[in-house]
Amino acid sequence: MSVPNEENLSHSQLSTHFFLDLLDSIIVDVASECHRVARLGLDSNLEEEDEELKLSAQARVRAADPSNTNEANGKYVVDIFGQTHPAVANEIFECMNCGRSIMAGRFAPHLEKCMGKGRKARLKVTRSSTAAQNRYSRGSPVSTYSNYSTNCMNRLANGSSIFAGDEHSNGTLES
Amino acid sequence: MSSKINGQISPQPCPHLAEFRRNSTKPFLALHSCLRIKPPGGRAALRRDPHEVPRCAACGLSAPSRLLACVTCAAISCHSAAASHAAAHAASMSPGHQIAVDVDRAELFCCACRDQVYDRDFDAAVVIAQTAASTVGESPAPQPENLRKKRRVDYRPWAPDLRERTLIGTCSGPIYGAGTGADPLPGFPRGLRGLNNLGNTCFMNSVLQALLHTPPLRNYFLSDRHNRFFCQKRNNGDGDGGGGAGKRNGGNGGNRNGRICLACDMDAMFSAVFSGDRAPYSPAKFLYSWWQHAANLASYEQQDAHEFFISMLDGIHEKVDKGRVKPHSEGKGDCCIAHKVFSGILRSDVTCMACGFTSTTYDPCIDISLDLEPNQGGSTKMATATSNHSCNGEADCMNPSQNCGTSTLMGCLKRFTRAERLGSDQKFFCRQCQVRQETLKQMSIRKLPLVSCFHIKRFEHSSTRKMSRKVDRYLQFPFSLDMSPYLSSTILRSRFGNRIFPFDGDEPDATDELCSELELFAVVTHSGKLDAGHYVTYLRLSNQWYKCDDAWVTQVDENIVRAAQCYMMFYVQKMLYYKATDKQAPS
Repeated sequence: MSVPNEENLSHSQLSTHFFLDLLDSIIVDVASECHRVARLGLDSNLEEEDEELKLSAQARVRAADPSNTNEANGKYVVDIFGQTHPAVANEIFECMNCGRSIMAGRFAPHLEKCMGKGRKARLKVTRSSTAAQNRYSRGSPVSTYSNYSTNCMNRLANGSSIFAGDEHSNGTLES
Repeated sequence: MSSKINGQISPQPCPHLAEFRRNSTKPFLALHSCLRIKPPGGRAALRRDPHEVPRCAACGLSAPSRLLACVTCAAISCHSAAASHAAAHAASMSPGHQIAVDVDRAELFCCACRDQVYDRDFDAAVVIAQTAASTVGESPAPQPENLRKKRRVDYRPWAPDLRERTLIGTCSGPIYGAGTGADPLPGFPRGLRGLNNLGNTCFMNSVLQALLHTPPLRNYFLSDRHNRFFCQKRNNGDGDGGGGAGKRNGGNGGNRNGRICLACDMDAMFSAVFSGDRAPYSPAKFLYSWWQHAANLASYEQQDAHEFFISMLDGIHEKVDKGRVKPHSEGKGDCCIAHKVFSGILRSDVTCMACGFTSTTYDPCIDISLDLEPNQGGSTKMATATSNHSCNGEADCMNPSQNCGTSTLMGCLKRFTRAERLGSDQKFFCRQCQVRQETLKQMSIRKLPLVSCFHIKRFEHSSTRKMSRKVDRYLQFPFSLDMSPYLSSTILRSRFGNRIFPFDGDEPDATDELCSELELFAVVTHSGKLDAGHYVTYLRLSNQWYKCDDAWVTQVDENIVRAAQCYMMFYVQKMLYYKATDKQAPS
C-alpha cells in the first residue's frame, strides 16, 4: 500500500486513506466491467423488459377493476362459436373398457371403477420413469398422499423435476 | 463502431491500438507468461513475478486507481482521472508506447485516448490462462454428443410433385372451407375447439390445449408423421401385447383397440380438433390410454397439470420401439417427437471455492421448473425511480435499487442461472484438491429446445410438517422473451470476464441471436385453492388471445392474460433453422 507523504498522520487518518484507496479500486473494477459490457454490446435489451413490466402492471390494474370481472369469474353465456355448454358434459359415448354408454362428464369416475383403479385399488407407487437420473436431481419421485381424502385434490408431487433447480423438501415415497 | 465475428462483437480498435498491432509481429505474446489467475473466480492479473508488488516508476505509488504496464517497454505507471503518469510516459516516449495493460484487471488501456480498449488476441490469451487454471490436469468437458456442429442450411420451400399432388387429391380432404358445411363459422383460427371435462380432468384439458397449438407438434401430427392407422396395424401385426414398450392393459379384458399408443391418440385428437367441427371434443380415449401408461396416477382426482405433462411426453416417448431407437437419456433428442420439440440440454458447473477447478456436466431436460423468489423480495431489472423499498438483506437481492415489488419470470430465470454457493453441508470432492471443498454451482442452458415450457413451482409440500401449500403470488411473464442471458455461452462468457472469445454454445453464425428469442403461445393458469382449484389455458393465435376453459372457448383481451396467475408457460423459438442432415432425401 502506498503511504501518504505526510508523516504524522493519526491511525484513523491512515486507515481512512487506505479505505479510500480500496474503495477507488472497487469503483474502477465496476466501471471497467460495465465499460466492457457496454462496448461489446452485451447488455440486454432493457427497454423491452421495461415495456413488458409496464404492460403487465397496467393489465393487473385493469383486471382488478370490478367492471371487468365477467371473464374472470368464468360466467359464460356463449362461447365464441355461439354455443352453450352444460355444467356436466353430456356427450354420450361408449366406454372403451367395458362397452357401456357413459356421459362424458361422468366418464372419469366410471373409468376409474371400470379399470379397477382408484384410491382403494391403487397400485404401488413407482418412481416416475420420466425422471432422468440426473446427478444433481433431488427431485422426488411421483408421490401420492393418501392422507388427503377429499374428492377434488390437486396432486402435489413436487413435479418430476428432471434437473436441479433449488431443492424443496420432497415428499416421502408411500407404499 | 464494431463488427461481429463468431457472433461476438469485436469493437473497432482505436488508431493507436491499430497501429500497435500493425507494428508488432506477435502482440501481447510477452504477456502470456505474466497472467496470474486467482481462484475461485478466475480474476486475471499481470505479474512478472508472482509476489511482485507493482509500483509506478515515476512516483512509487502502488494503489492509485490503475497501474498500467506499457506493453512495449513494461514500464509501470499510475493512472487516475486526476493525474496520469501513464499518459506522460506515452507522450514522452517515442510513438509505440501508448498501449498499456491494467495490471490488476488484465484490461488494455490506450493512454493517448485515455480509455479502455479491447483486442481479440489479448482476450484470447486471458481466457486460455483462465481455462487452464480451472481445468488443471484435465481436458475440458466433452461437448454433449448431439451438439456436434451441423452445418446450417437454407430453407428450401417444398412443393408437391405430380405424384404427390395426386396422392393429396385422392387421399385427403381440406381441413375446412370457410363457411362450408364442415365449419359453418368462418374466421376463427383452425384447431380452436373446447375439450369436455370428463370429471376433474381440467388438468389434462389445459395441457392438451397447449399441446394442440404447439407449432412443431401440431405440424408433425397434421403432416401425418404419425399415422394412427398404420401404427395400429403394424403393432397388431407384431402380435398383441408383445414386447418392446407394450404397456399394461389395465386388467379386465384388456384393450380391445390394440396396443396402447399415446401418439396414436394424439393423432386422433389433432384430426378431430382441426376438422372444423366446433362442438367440444371428449378426450376419453386419451385418458384411457394415459391411465394405462401412468398407472400410479390413474384415479378420479384432480391432478397436477405439470405432472400430467411430463407423464404424457414420457408416454409418447416410450411408445417408440426400444429396439430401434436410443433412449432419451443419451441426450440425442432425436428419439421421438416429444423430445424433438421439448428437449433441451442443461449445463451444470461445479467450481471448487479453494482452487477454482470446475467440473461440468450436461443433462437433458424437457422443461424448466422454477422456484418463485422467496418473500416479497422479487428482483426485476430496472432501478426505478419510484422504488423506495430496500431489500430485506437477502443474499440474492444484490442491487439495492431494484424494485422489490414484483416477481418476474426473468427474475426466476436469473435466479436459476445464478452462481450459488452450496452450503458447507454439501461439500463436493474436488479432484484437484483431493479433499471435500465448498463449491459454487451454476446452471445454464446449453441448448434451448424448440419449445420451452416453464413450470412455476406453486405447490409446495413439506414432508416434515405434513402439509402443503399453494403459492399464489403473482408472477409477471413477458409475451416475448430473450433467453440469451441464460444460455451457457453467455453465462460462461461473463464468468470469464466477458472476454471476446468463442464460448461453448456460440454458434458461428452472425444471426444466432434470433435463436434465443422466444414468443409466448400458451399459458396454463391455476386458480383457486390447493385442493379445489381449476386449470384454464390461454392460447395466442394470430396474436389474438383465447381462453380455453374446458368446453368453453372465449376470446379475451391480452390484459386478462397478463394479469393471470401463470403456472406453465409455453414459448416457441421465433426463428427456426434447418440443419444439414445425414439422411438421404427420399427418392
